[in-house]
Amino acid sequence: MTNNLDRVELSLVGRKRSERLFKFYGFLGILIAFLFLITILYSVISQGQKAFFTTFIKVNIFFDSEIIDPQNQRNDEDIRYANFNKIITESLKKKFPENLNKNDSKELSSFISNSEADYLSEFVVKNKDYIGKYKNMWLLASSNIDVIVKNPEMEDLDEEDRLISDKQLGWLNQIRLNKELKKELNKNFFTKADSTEPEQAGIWGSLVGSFLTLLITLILSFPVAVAAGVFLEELAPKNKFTEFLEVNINNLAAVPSIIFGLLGLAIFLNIMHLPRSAPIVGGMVLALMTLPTIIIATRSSLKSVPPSIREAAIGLGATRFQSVVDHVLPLAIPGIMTGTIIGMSRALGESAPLLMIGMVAFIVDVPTTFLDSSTALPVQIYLWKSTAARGFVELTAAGVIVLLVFLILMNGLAVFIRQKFEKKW
Amino acid sequence: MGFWSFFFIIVFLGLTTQWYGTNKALKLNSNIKEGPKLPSLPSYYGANAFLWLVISVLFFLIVWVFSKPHILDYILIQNIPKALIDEFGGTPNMLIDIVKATDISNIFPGTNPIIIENALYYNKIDKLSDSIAYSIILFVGLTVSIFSINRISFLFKARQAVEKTNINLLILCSTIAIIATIGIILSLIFEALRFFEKVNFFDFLFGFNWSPQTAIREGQVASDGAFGAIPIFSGTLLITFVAMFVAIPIGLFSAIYLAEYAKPSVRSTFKPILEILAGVPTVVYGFFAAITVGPFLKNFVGEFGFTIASESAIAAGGVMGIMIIPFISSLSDDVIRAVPQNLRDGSYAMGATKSETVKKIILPAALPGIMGAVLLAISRAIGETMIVVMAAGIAANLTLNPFESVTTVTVQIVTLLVGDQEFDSAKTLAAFALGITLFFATLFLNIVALRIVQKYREKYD
Amino acid sequence: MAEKIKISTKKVNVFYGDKKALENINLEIPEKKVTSLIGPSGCGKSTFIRCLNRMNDTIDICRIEGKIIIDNEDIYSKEIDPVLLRAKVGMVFQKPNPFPKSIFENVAYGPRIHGLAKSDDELDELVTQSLVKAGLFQEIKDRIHEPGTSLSGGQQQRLCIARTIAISPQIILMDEPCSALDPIATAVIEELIDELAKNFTIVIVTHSMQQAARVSQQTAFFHMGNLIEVGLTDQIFSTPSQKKTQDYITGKIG
Repeated sequence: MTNNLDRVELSLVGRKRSERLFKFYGFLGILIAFLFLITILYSVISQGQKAFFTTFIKVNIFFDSEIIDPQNQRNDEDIRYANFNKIITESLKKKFPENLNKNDSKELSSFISNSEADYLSEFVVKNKDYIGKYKNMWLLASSNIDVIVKNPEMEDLDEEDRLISDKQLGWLNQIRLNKELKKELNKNFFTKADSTEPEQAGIWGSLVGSFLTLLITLILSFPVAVAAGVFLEELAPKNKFTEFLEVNINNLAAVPSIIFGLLGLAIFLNIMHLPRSAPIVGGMVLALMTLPTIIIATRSSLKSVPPSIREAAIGLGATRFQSVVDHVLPLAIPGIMTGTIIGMSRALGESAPLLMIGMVAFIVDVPTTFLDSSTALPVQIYLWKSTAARGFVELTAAGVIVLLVFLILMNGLAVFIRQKFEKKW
Repeated sequence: MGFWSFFFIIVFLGLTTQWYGTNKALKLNSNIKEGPKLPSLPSYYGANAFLWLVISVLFFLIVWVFSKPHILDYILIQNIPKALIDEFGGTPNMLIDIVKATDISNIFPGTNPIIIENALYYNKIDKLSDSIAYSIILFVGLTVSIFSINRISFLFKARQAVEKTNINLLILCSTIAIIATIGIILSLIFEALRFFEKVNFFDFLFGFNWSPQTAIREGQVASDGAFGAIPIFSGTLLITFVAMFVAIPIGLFSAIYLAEYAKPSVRSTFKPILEILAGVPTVVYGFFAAITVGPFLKNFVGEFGFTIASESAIAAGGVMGIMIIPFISSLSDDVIRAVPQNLRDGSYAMGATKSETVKKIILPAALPGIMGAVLLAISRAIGETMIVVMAAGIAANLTLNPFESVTTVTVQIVTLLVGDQEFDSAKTLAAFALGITLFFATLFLNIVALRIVQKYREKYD
Repeated sequence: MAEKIKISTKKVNVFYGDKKALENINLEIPEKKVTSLIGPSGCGKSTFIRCLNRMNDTIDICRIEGKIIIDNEDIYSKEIDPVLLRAKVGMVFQKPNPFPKSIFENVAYGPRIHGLAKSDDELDELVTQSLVKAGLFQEIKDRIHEPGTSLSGGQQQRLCIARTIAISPQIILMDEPCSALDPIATAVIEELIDELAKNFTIVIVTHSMQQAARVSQQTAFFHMGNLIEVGLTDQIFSTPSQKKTQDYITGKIG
């Protein structure tokens, strides 16, 4: 007998080791998943935070009356058509006393964003007194300069791999030495729509697009899904038809999202002739995708309402329908809300089906109605990522941050509702 | 009549109808001094009238929304001179799109005056047709209101009628899931059949050469493009395999740790963290794969003297694997926890260590459930779009080397369809053929997986 | 009692979270005898038996005070490895829980993990012997590779016993082993217990006083987490010294 126990004891050394190893593997699994999450967040935030600020260059602008208003008539229309790019270039040149040839001045003028000429012309139209005078102004730097300022390590690259020439880099360092460089909040990013120039592109247009799209999704999917959930959970007889319904809903939940896009393209666009790229179509497609999520949430929160509530209502002479609508459904609302918000946050992050219905266009205007062409937040991220210009890298990451912030807010709200209002029976 | 004025008139009409119906029923009841009153409460009579008004208005509104584009396009095409259509070269539909897209408040200089004229015309008929439609719908609504108020009598059981209508509405809402499924299948099949008119079915399914871009080159017959989908399928499988290679061990070990080893406090911290991984939108994973993982792998592998494509299967698949981890871990966690405690007790009572119990008793018992989870994860992986669109290649390479660039079904669907408005070429239709393949593949995997999981649950419930 | 004492517990208290499940249990269990633990449900007898091979370790909120001594060793001291302890103190559960494997694999499980058989032949022999000892071999010798779950309830329970004796423990704990079985299967198991008592120390929890009377030499009566009375089985059932025991035996409480 003791012989047996000795053998067990003998085997224990190796077994203990493999026990520890196995436990370690398990922990390693969790740890790796956790590290992935941290890496993703770090890579997004470290790049994205750069896009929240943008570079400005101080230029002593000379509002040359020869260029702006040679006839001296102070006519708004004429001022608007004046060559303000030239004004910027000439004013920049004054920073560098050395003789600049034509090519040099071209390189110099590319320091400033091409949106600033419009800005100056509007400024002069409003302040005509400045014509013929000097004014120190902070002008938005072009994206290439901005990228170099934000990523100093790029200065060490070879000239052809860098975005700016050696000469431009020299000027930039001189500007920096003169303290004529500053970083400021990137207002364009938060207020504009897409643009071909990274420094002028913003997230606002796609944010509005996402909002309009989700509004349609909510309006369409919420009532339908709650109705379907109530019917299936509370009122449906057990028969082949309802069984078929349930199978359909479960399958719908697992259909790849891009297939919904194909459905939207074939039916909403080609058969129904609804407008391409419009939030209304995007909303309809996402509504179909969100439907199963809300139905399942509705059913499970109805299921958690104890049968005694129904029995009490029915015992008082209410019909089944009345007992559900008057008593059971109100108790299930927090759960339904939570499920709906989670479904909406999933719809917010969804982009594949939107690509199919054309919400993936270059759109410079902020959409205002459900029928306007627009993009959505995740699609904008995809678009920026696919753009070659270097300045869009940070913008893409910043877009991801905005998307994640919204998702965190929505999920936080869902958790809040769950903890605050959901009853445990 | 604009939409909002229409909307408010309808709301007003609805409230009036409800109020009037309820009042009429109240009056009828108060006239009865003795004997039976109305069979339902007065408010039900109002509700019934209201319900019918809303249903009829909504019905006609939907009919109008869906038929309006067709009607307007038809009127517009009659108005555009034939000469312009011929001159334009493209299909009439594309011309109509141009006319509709013309912003009449801010006309681009140099626009064809006929287009401007038609844009103004379109704008006019757009408003006019809306007004006409809204007026008709209002008239219908009014008729329905009057009719249902007239129906109020002692013979009419309003509560039953209201409930029956409501339940029918609920059933209607429930069937949307079926309608959506049918819509998906029909639209895919319809377009895919058009594709197979141009391209042989077996050439598509078993062909080794995929180069759809050549098919739309001018002067070339559409079927000259190569539509052999084998390289696409193999690419999809390769990326899925890489994803599973990452996700299965990490997901499974995480699940084992959470279910068997972790204290409740540890569990309640790490489980939500895994769920966060599941909540990150796929476009973010795509960005991560393309911007961070791709270059990193390139440098890393380069150190060892190997070359790796910048859009390698391993980058896209690896990141997809990260996305799948929570999927596998949470499903496996459920499955492992569903293994009855008495099996664990039995094993511990024999003097087994925890890992022996997990390896020899729990995992074998949970295997069907875990298989189901893996199948669901595979179905998720082959249907995943954004990660591969952003991080995998476009060229169809037939290779098993994960360091090379491959393409997937979803990438091809996106590349074939994005930006293309023409709907008759084999190129665009090929997307639907791929779509239906994807749909049935995932459907099959899901059904099998759900069967397995269900059987497993029944076994231990 | 003149026999050698195999297990003795001293001032054992058991808590589930804040709730005290057992209070001050002092009990001595003789070697190679059957000791039965009786009492109304929820009295703590199952909790107690699970302390004897530290099965309660698997429950997070369970906490134990006092000493449980087996062969002069406190099993809750730090030096004791629960794995080794459980190889020495086997357990059979209320509900038969054969592993979802073949009959052979079920019995071979213990010897395999503990490395008790040096060769396949030895393992075959060990499994056969164990099945013979559990009185199951004759019935199932032709289908030894069929799943253990395909057996009837009573056979499953005997399979669990065979599985336990395959690792040659010194003590076998049985937690209501017959409560899920029909009377005929119960009779078979009871006979088996008698047989096993020749080689093993057996502690059996039972809700059936008749069963306690039939199989055990010593009986302990638990009530509300307290050990009320312990003594020779005949004595407990004929002349209990405590009123509570009397009440339980006559059906006044329970």
